[in-house]
Amino acid sequence: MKLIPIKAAPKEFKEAVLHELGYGSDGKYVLESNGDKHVDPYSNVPVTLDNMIIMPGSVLVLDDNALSIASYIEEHGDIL
Amino acid sequence: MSADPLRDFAAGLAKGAFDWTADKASYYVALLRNHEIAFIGRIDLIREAQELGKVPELQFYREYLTDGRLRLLAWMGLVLRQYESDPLRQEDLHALRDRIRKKYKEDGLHIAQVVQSRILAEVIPPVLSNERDKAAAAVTIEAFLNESGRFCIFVKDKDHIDTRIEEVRVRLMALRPPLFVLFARGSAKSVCNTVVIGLSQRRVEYDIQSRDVFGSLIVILFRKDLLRPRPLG
Repeated sequence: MKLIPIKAAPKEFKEAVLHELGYGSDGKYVLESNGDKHVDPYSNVPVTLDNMIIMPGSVLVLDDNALSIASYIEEHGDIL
Repeated sequence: MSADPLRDFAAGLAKGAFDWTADKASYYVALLRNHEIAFIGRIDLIREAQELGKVPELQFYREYLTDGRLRLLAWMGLVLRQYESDPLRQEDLHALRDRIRKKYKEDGLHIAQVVQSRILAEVIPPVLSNERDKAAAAVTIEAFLNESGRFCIFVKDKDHIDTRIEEVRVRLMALRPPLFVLFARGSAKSVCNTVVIGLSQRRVEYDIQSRDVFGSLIVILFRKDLLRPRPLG
């Protein structure tokens, strides 16, 4: 598994990746296809372009924090 | 150049050649779906969470915690403790507390703080020695954590002593929990000691044990009628 730091990537690239995954963006937040803010299921916070991480497999867009990371590991195993 | 542009692309990434042009997004997504890459933020957050997820202290707790929510909150308690110990991580500390509260409400944060403060580590051994077996101990420990909002009080230095004593006494009398914990650090320790003296004078039917743990005061109250008789000799 290669871990790629996405924080430094240009906004256009992040938006293109999100588009491929069926999400959008208003320039600050990650948006669902219906325009609602995408909420990290593990920490209940809206995910921003600045603080998003994307986990492999089923491709979860999460907020970058220990609770979300640990929850992902609990559910999917320590594959990172 | 091979016939598979995705393989060529992956090989480039493996050498650290990140191509951030938007038209490569579909390649990255294909690799994500194929479990070959993850897009991460701070590598230290991941490595730290991974390491703390494997420490013996958490493995010990997991022997007594079957509920996934409690296991995760115990893990987060260790992360909070790590952040708390580093003056440069206070922003991380507040951000994590905020996220735990958003997901698991105030009760969930309280449970994580019970682990962060080493209360759980102090509670498990005496519970183990008092219960008939490990399974019974696990039930008591999970119940304590789930009720820790009511049965574990973080005493503050500004607490009104008589009010605290009465609050604890009423909870002990009315709810009769198997165990109850008071925690204090710094100048709140003398307040906590005074509360303990007040409870003793009011003859609560609890066995009271105080411990100094890493500079904090942890007071565990066990219901006397549930204490198993100790073997003679």
